[in-house]
Amino acid sequence: MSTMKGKRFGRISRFFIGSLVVALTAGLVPSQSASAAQEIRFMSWAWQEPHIKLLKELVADWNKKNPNTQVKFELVDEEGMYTALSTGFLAGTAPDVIDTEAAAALQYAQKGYLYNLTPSFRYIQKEINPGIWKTASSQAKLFGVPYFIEQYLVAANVDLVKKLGGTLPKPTDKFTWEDLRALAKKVSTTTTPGLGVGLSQAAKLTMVLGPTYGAKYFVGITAGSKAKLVQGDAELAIVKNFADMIQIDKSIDARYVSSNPQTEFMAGTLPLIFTKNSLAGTFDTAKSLNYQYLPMISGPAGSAQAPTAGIYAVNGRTKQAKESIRFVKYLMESDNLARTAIAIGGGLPGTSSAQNRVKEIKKGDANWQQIMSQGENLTTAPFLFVPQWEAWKGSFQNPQARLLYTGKITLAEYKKAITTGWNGLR
Amino acid sequence: MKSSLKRGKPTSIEAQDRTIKLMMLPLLLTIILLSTLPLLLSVFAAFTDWSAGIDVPINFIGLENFRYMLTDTQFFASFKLGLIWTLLVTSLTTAMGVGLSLLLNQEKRYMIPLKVIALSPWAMSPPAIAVIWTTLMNPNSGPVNQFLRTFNLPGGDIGFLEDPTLFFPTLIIIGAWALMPMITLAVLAALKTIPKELEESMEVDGANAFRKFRYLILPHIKPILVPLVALNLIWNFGAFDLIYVIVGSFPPPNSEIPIVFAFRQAFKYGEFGYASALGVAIAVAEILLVMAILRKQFKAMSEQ
Amino acid sequence: MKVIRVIATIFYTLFFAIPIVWLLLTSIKSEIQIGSRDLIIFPDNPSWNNYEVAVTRSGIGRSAFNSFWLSAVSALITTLVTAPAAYLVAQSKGLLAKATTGWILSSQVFPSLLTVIPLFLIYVKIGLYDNYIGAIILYVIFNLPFALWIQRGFIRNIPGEIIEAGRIDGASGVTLLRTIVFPLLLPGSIVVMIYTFINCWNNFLIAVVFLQGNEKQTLTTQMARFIGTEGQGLLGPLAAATVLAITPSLILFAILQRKFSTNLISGSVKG
Repeated sequence: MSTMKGKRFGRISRFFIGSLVVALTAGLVPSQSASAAQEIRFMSWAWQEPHIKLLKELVADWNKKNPNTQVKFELVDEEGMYTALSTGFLAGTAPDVIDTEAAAALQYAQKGYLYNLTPSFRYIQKEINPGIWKTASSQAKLFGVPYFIEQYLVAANVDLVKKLGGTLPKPTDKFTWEDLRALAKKVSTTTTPGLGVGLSQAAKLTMVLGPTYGAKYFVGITAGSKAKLVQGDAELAIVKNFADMIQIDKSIDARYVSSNPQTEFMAGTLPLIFTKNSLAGTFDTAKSLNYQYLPMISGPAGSAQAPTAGIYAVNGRTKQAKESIRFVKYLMESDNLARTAIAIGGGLPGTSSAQNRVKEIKKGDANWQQIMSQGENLTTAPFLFVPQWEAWKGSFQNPQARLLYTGKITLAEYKKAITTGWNGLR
Repeated sequence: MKSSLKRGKPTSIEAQDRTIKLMMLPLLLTIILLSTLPLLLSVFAAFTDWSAGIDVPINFIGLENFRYMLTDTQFFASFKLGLIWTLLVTSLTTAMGVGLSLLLNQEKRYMIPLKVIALSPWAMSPPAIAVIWTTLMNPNSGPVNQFLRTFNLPGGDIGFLEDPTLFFPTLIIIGAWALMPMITLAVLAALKTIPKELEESMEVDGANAFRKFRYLILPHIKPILVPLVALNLIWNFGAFDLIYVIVGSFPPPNSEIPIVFAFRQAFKYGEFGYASALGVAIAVAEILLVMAILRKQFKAMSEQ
Repeated sequence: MKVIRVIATIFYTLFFAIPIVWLLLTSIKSEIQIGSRDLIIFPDNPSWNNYEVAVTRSGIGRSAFNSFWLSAVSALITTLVTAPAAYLVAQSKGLLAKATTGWILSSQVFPSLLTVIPLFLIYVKIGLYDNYIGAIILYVIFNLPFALWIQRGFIRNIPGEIIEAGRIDGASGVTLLRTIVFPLLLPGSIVVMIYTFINCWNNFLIAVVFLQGNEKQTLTTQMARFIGTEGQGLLGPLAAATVLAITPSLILFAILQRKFSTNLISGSVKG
């Protein structure tokens, strides 16, 4: 045995043993001795910086006012949220209050993991759109309080549209799919398309706006059996609109299958963009951009949309049910809710009083007024209760739609491919 | 050293080994409980409808999971993707890794920086690699797009990781970057075993580089290269972390390789039975893959 | 021929260096420079601000501490159990050697996910879930096959007479370990220790499934969380966090590589 190696080993093992000692003294010993205060774990998948900042503020305020119920804020990414919940509900390590969305939480509600919030939140039921309330319910039990709703609107670069000879509808006008097509065609040039829409993952948009054509997509939803897929004219109408605008009108460019039109719109080179109403905050940061949200698109069946909702859910097996609900009620206070929607950058806060509060705060801002006035244009839709939708969307609806938009397949082939795909799912 | 020996209680050779065996018994039990047993359990679970939920009974359902797997178009899509990923990334890393190790084997001083930097991805975690590459490929602020823009080349706003058609090729490149060091390191070690005299004598004979590679180097590294490729095929087919982290933070559709698909079945949807069946299918596929390549070596290895 | 060699060298250097160099540069740039659409290679006035934000905002400080001590403890335990185990396996010509080879091979062939599913449910049942000790046991178990593989490569190079010579002196099992097994297997032990440390430091699967508490996150899982949440808007701090995360393992890897890479690979791959 050479002494040199012995020395080196000694050094390295001292390093490891040293860290073991550090670990035993600092790591294994619980950092805080148990105090009398109850602890609520609040997990959120928020990702926008202002939103995270606000949630931290709200939690800090709560903790100051409620020394006996301390909320611990945990940020988690989307994948991590699913893992934390799926393992956590089984192992008893799930957080007490969860900030997620109705569609994501549905599977947990159906397995009975989420607290029935109907009795506790009946007091604001009148303030929440009935469609949204239903979207956040499973078997008539509210599994999450809807606090935030995203709708899809068309935003216009006012100056650019005017320059290109287009006329924008007034905020109170009816704005139909045909009007959109005509306007987009009008403002298209040989070099730039009139309308930008993120087509790589457009399936969600087509489902949320489906009710404007009276589209059902799914029928026969019962617990434990697979729903039946419907793909009639009404269900295919929106996909066909986009395909026609790309291939016939040339008012949408097929490049949006891969690139996001948002940067172009913010740079001021794109006249129109079809996007979420939660981007107002982002668009506001482009100082030279004079933009305007157009009225909601209406189709033969009206202008109501069926989005999922951001919800606050409570762990069904929490030891602090009462305090957790009280904390959710605190988050749902009109002022806090209004601030949340503003921090996210747009979109509708869950209750009508919070929507009014945003209107007050954003007085004089036409775009925010426009967004807040859509609180009634909401409904629920079957796809929100079909657990297999997400998988089907990722594997068939989106990829096949991309093939359709780029002209690689026809509408009939698209319909056949997604139907076959659905039938192959369990 | 000597003094400690004197203090020891004199015992027979068998007794010494027996003491050590006794000391190792807890380890053996832990291995059986936490490595062997779970493996058997998961094979068993593959034949049940085990799923998450409150008081959900577990039923033995025979081959139902495997029967369903045959009709699961999503699984087939991911299986196909997994095979393509495995074959492409393994052949790319092998070819590039052999080339790189030939370069590094020159033992020139100026090669040291390249050696250090080219092997470093081995020591990086999947999230770190994800950050490095998403920063690089960012459609707006990534240097690749900025470069295209600066020289007015086509593109300039390419979402390499967002575009469904570009995502997979980009993933292969990231894979090559992250997984090449292992092969380079191994081939480099094999190259060191080539006797210098042989190399020199071939040079004296005037053999060109190709002939030298074909008749001297290749035969020498082959005994390592074959099992190495086999191992890499297995590892890459089951390369969970890297792809899960990249796909997880920037989820383009149709990008799940089978192992990620199986993970999500278990830990996103709580379908433990089906996920186990998927795991068994993946393992069987890997074994078949390796057996095909390694028939001889496998036999020799298990006889050791 | 020389031309090809030069071109290849340039190609490999660029391919491996650009991503790392860009990461380093990003970590010291200002937000405006990072968001720029024009190519800015070098920051105007480099600052450590991103590192400050990374440490205070991303939660990587505490998670790095977790990663560090979990990896260190796991590496130490793995090293301590591997040497005697490898010694026993080397002594045995029968069932034990065959079973070990089988276990090592199966651990490489079967995807770890397969065992993770039942392990999760076993852990929940026996109360080791979301528990540091439970995680350490798994780190050890998952690293043990390859550690044994490495040590076997080293033990083969030791002439049998040396071990025999030590044994005839007549010592207890413990003394045998202390005076013969551990010293003789020292080079292998160092490799095992560093290798296991890096592996645990970079491990994602065990941490993401078995450590749930916010304060129990390791560097890898915390980084994944940061990437998917705050980090989306904070590219600079994200890069800084990444630099901090890869530095320790890179240093250890350099030690490992300089001294032992040839031995490691010839020992393990040749079997």
